[in-house]
Amino acid sequence: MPYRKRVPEFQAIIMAGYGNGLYPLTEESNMPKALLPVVNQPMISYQLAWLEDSGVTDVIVVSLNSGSKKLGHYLDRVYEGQLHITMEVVDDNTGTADALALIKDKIKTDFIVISCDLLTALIPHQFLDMHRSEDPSVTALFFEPTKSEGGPSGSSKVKEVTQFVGIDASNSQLVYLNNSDDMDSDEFSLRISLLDKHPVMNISRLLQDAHLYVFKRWVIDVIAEVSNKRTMASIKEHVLPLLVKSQHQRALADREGVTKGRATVEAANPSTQKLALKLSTTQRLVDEDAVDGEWKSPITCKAFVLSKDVYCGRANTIPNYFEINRHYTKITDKVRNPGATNQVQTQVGGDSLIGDDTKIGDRSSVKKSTIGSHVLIGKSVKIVNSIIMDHSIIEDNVKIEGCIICSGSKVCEKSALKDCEVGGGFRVEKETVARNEQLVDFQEQ
Amino acid sequence: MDPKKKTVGFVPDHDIGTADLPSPGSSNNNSAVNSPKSALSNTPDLSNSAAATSNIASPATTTAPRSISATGARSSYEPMKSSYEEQWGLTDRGSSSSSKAHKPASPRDGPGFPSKDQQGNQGGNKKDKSKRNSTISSTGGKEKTSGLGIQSNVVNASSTDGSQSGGLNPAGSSSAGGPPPAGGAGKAGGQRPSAPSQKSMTKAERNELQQRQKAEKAARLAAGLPASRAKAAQVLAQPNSGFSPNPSKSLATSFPGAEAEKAIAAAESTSQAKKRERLTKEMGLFAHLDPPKFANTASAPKDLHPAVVNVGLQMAQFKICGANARCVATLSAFRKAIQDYQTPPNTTLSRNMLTYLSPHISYLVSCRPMAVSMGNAIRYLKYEIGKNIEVPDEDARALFLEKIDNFIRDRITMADQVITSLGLQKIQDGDVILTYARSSVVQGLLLAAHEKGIKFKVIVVDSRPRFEGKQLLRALASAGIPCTYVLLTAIGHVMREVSKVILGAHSLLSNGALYSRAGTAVVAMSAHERKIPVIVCCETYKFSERVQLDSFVQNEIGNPDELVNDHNNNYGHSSTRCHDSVHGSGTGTGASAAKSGVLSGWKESRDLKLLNLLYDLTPSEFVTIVITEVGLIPCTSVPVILREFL
Repeated sequence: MPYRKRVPEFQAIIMAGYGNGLYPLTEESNMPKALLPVVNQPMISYQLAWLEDSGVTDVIVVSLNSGSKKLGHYLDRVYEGQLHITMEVVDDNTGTADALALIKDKIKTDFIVISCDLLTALIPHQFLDMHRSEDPSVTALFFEPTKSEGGPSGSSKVKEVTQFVGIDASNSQLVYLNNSDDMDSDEFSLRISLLDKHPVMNISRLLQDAHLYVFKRWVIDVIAEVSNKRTMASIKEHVLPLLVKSQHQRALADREGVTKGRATVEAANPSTQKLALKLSTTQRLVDEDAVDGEWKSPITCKAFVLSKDVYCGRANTIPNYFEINRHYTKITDKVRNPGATNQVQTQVGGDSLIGDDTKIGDRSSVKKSTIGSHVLIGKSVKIVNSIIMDHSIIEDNVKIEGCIICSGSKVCEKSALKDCEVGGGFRVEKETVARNEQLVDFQEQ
Repeated sequence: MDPKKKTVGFVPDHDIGTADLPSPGSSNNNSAVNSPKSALSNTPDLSNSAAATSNIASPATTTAPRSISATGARSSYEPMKSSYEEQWGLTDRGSSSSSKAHKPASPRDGPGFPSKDQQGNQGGNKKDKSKRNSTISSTGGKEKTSGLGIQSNVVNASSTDGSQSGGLNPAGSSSAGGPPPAGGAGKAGGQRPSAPSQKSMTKAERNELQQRQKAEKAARLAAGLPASRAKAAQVLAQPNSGFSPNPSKSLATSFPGAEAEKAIAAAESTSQAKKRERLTKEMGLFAHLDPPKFANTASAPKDLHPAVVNVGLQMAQFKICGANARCVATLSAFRKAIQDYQTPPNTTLSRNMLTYLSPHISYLVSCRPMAVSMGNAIRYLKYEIGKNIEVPDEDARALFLEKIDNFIRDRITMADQVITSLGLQKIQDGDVILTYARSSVVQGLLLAAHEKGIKFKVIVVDSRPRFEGKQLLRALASAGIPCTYVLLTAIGHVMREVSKVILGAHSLLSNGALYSRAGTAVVAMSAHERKIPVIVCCETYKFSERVQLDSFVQNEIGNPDELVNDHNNNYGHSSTRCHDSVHGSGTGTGASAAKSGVLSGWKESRDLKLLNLLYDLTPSEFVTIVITEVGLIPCTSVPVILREFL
């Protein structure tokens, strides 16, 4: 066995999905979701940086077939971090749990699952320390989305799926999850037995699952089991609720093999700290619950709720993507306008960012916008509140407000676009006036 | 003023030929006079930026100070990180300052100097470190302040005594917010702040203060005005007076009536003190103790074994608490680490094992000060590793694992069983046994006695903030033992009916003193008062070579928030700080509402300090007998056991 200095604590799995909510940005002609730029940097680089910061070294990127080439190229050639990254390609239409089940054999330790659209200022160790000290089966991150500052809403409004999240206030245990798409009303039901066990719990609709989880190694077996039984099994909708319910429903836990999975692991790999916890003066006696004749679930789910002043967002819809871009543009420390010297009477707002090698013509103004590299912007152009990706061309006298213009597209002169998304490589004819539209090359499917 | 002129100011240090140390201090003192400049730099930002620019402007200044001022600025919002940096930064500063601060000085401005020196000695030479800081970047400061230099000089000259006190207290002026009066007299009279106020300054404020002092000093120097001569004589008369690090600093802080300056100087004399003070508002007599740790893995080396990392966190959060539990946890984690260990090339397992374990050990110490039990266990492990250095790898691994298992078995598990069986002889029908807080041995003993059929009653005495007794009560009550639960405050009342007191121990010291959970001493003493036997259960591996006469020399300070925060107490253990904050604000209403108590704003309150000591010391005369696995012994026999049996 080759010498390794450290014993890996976590493996990380980045789920690079398709991004249904981001159509048309994620069309084949543009780029997969993981590579969409946030402040001119692919989204996935943020998760990679986060993981590197957390001390993880071993990362598996699970990509859908469709975007895998571009993503693979990025990870191979462009990415410069220290992480050891392997990429796994799965078919389109594979659920997140299915994907995990497919790479089951590659997972050797406890693992972190993170979605490629999560951007957060959360300091990794805060989240991981909770998992380390509490030793639960799964720790999930929840956050309260910040209110949008208005602006472009994206023409395709996807209704956010809200869920009811119940957290025991005393020990941050995640005790209740209810996806409200199961039922549209504002009602939800609770088992009396649950209330018995957790008399004080906070149930909230505001909290959103951030798609960042830390699982114990053995949970992968449960995940595999779940994915056998369903098609398109997802972690959020199937695995997590199952685990949460298994905390207090014995029959369910037994039926789904959750108990068994845990027990086998326990037998093979007994916990090192059992004796210590038994001796500890602040812990309850371990076998106390057995005395009460009550079933004690082998599973605990913890929820880490992010405080409101720590930024967190998921770029899973166009408005969210927009919001995140704006936030990160505000706080970035990159040079905001590298080509500033050769421009005449051009205004670039302090809340904007211009990429390298981008040329802006005279008397143009850019406000609250992020503009990629190698973009050509003509004279007297007004760009407000927009994202313009690399290699686009904006001709003279164009007005753009609240738009996302994908890479390689061209907006011809005197057009006026408001709240539009322009697909990759699309050509907006001159003097077009559009509002709330998606301008995409029509593709025969 | 041009750079040359500035340097002029410094020169006199050498000329005068006073000891090296005083001179840097003195320069600071001069600058300490509040000149109009200080008003300009009232806000931290301003002063910081001033420092930065000044550094750039004058290449003569070393780079070290610059980094320091940067960290200082950051510290206000990054307390953890900066405290470490600060520590390093400060040492750097200290060493560099003594050598470098003098370099730029070129002897020119003879007459001006002595006065500075003198001033420094009177008020400020106790401050050694902080003063030095200011000298370093003083050259930089000149540029900015040059215009004001004359004015400040005037002040200095006119009011000798006044300038001194005013200079020492820039905090007062800064907090007042208004520009300090131009005349030194006014300042001097009005603002002699008490020690606590200075102490309560944040790092940023203090930094600001130093910057201002530097700037002022530079201004004066640049102007080239001599300060008063009378003081120079004084300086010479009492050379070195304040220079050795003041041993009585803690005392000084506790008596604000005594020289405020002294206290201030002491507070700033070490980086440690600074760091602690910002985090915890430490108490006077306990300044030498480690501040409570806010453990997280951010600063931990990345290549620690996960098992050890987890245990460290659990100890820091008091999830694993109690001497036995902590020792077992440490050993089990090390066991796992040794199991997963791979020998690097070109060495052998036993040779490299100590190097491998040492960062793990220091990580554990960084999480919470090491328990005596842990220390003994680790010493044993190190001894075994050292002894078997020639054993081939695989055998060595197996050997070490076995040694660890044996230690846990022989010294803890089996020892507890022996203690239990010995202790059973001491419990008779009809006894009323009082115990304090929770000890795993005592709990085992009581449960065993109950199982054996002895009819007795237990009084569990407990105290804030951790309420460990509740867990004991739970265990005993669910086993069917009749129990009474009182807090320590009721000890006098319940002691009447008690027939025996059984206590656990953190450690037994060589002079026979019992070192245990804070409150034990009160229990033992009040039992002694009524001639009730006090029985202590303690495994021999907790015996310590240490001798301690009171609880102040060595102790552990817990998180003072535990005293404030009733929320924690409901759950028996304090959850982590970070969870708490994040969780509390996140889930909103319930948790956070429960947490805001009467004292919730104590950190902002200038005169309020909290002390949460974890241990106390019970002198040997209050302990009747100690039950150990080697028999029932008087506690004064600890050294004998250590010498003869271990």
